[in-house]
Amino acid sequence: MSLELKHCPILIAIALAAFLVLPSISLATEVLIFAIIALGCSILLGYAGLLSFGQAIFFGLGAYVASLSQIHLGVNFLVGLLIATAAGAIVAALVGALAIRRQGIYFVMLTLAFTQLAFFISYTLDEWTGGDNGLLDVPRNSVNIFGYEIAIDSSEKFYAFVAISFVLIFLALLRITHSQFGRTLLAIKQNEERATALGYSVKWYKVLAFVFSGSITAYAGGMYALFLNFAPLSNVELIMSEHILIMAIIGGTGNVYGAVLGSLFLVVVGDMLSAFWERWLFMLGGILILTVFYMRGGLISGLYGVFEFLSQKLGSASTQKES
Amino acid sequence: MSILTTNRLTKRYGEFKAVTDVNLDVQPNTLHAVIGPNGAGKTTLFHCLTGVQRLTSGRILFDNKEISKLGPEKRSSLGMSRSFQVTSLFLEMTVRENLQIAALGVSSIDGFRFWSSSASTVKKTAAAVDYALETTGFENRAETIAGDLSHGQQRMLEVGMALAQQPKLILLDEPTSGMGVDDIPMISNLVRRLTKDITVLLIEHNMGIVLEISDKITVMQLGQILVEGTPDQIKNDQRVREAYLGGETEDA
Repeated sequence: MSLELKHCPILIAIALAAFLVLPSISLATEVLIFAIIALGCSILLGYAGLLSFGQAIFFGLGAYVASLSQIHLGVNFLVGLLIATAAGAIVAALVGALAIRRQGIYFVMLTLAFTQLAFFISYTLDEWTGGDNGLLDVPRNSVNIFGYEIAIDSSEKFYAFVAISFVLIFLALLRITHSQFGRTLLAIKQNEERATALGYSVKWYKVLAFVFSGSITAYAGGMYALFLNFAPLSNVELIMSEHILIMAIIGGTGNVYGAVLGSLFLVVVGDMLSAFWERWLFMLGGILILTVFYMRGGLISGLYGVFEFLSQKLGSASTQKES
Repeated sequence: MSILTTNRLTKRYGEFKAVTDVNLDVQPNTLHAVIGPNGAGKTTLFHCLTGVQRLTSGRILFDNKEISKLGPEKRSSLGMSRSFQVTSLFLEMTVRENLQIAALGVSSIDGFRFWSSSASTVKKTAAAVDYALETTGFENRAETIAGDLSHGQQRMLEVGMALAQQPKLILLDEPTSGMGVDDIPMISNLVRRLTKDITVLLIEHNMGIVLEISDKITVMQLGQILVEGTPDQIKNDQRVREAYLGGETEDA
């Protein structure tokens, strides 16, 4: 319980700060959605040590499934998102179980191939996905509980919903990363051979990591489609997988808050720079290189470093005063 | 009543016969050593016993159960743990965390507990971890990061990892490999003490240690068993002298 007590206020503060500080509410919405998506990637990369280019599959899947549930099934948006999450979990289990049959570079190649496959499936099934044009005019069907209608028909309401989702998902993932399962994943990442010899069925641990990662990514993908009222084909492109990986790596994968920083950085800096510099991705490449060379723990480790430095400075200043 | 037996265990790589028709018989609470010059098939035999390699033919019985076809991850829960010849630890974790992970490996579900804190899950390992810490002398260094330990200490922890699983049988793959002469007694004393509670199967290159601490010795040569007996019998066996001691007296 102490874990939730400690982190819940921090997460609520992040959600409030994003709302109050960022120039627009849609930017804040996007930051929180992509923070969840980057978090899904960190679970695989930071805990299970799996560098996967497959995150766009779950992101795009969530967007399509949530949208289709709104258009064709007419279910409310909550049910739509839950269906998207379940679809993400199932597909992640399948993709994960197949991809982890190979290790290292071959695993990476398999995830690339699965993303390409998902892209062409989405492109071909244009009756369902809208193909190149994307799925347009996605409604947000309101929830009816005991006669009360809950609609998320304004951007403020939608932000509130995204913020609640953000806090709950981060709390859940904090619990998972602080569990024995999280620790076992770290052990497998550090030494797979020893973990196997100790009795761990490494395969199933990796599949479960994929399921957690895929389901929250699909949930966030669903929210993104409802946010835009649109599910574009670009959601399932390889470049989306890259984008998600870069967010997770720049933010830092060993800590859940790294995902927030990664998302904040890419979404906000991207938004600001792209307004007056079309080639801003050039700079992003430079920053990624610097991060990999000098800040392996990502921005979050840099931030902790600064905190530590300041607290030491302040600490030594106060002890000097005392003496 | 033997704890581990192999019946005509054979492993071939293509045409090459690495191990042929090996019949081992390990008695409980003894220290059984397998020795032999390089290329005798010790390591292949070890890989077959731990499940890393599949046998070409033959059978392995552990505690009266056929285990020939079980993967390495299935054997620890039956009560069979191993150490590695090249130190294989979780180097970014503390000694205690290493032992906790080891202790939980024998349970098929504890590692999957994702909703309760790891602190509550590892509580049940306290006795096993304390036993391993005490036996290997790590009580005061339990919170040290494994990667910061000296080589000799890492070798000790390597054995400790297997002990934390509270096995019936422990398979040690050259536990003294790469250790300085001064540290070797630390390991050999530890191994000797273990037979009070468990059975030890030791694969070793160092003849001196083996003669000193074993109850029974199996000498291998060219993938087959050459001689088997007590240290005294082995010491005085002419064939062993020719095959092993003759060429490698500097190791003894």
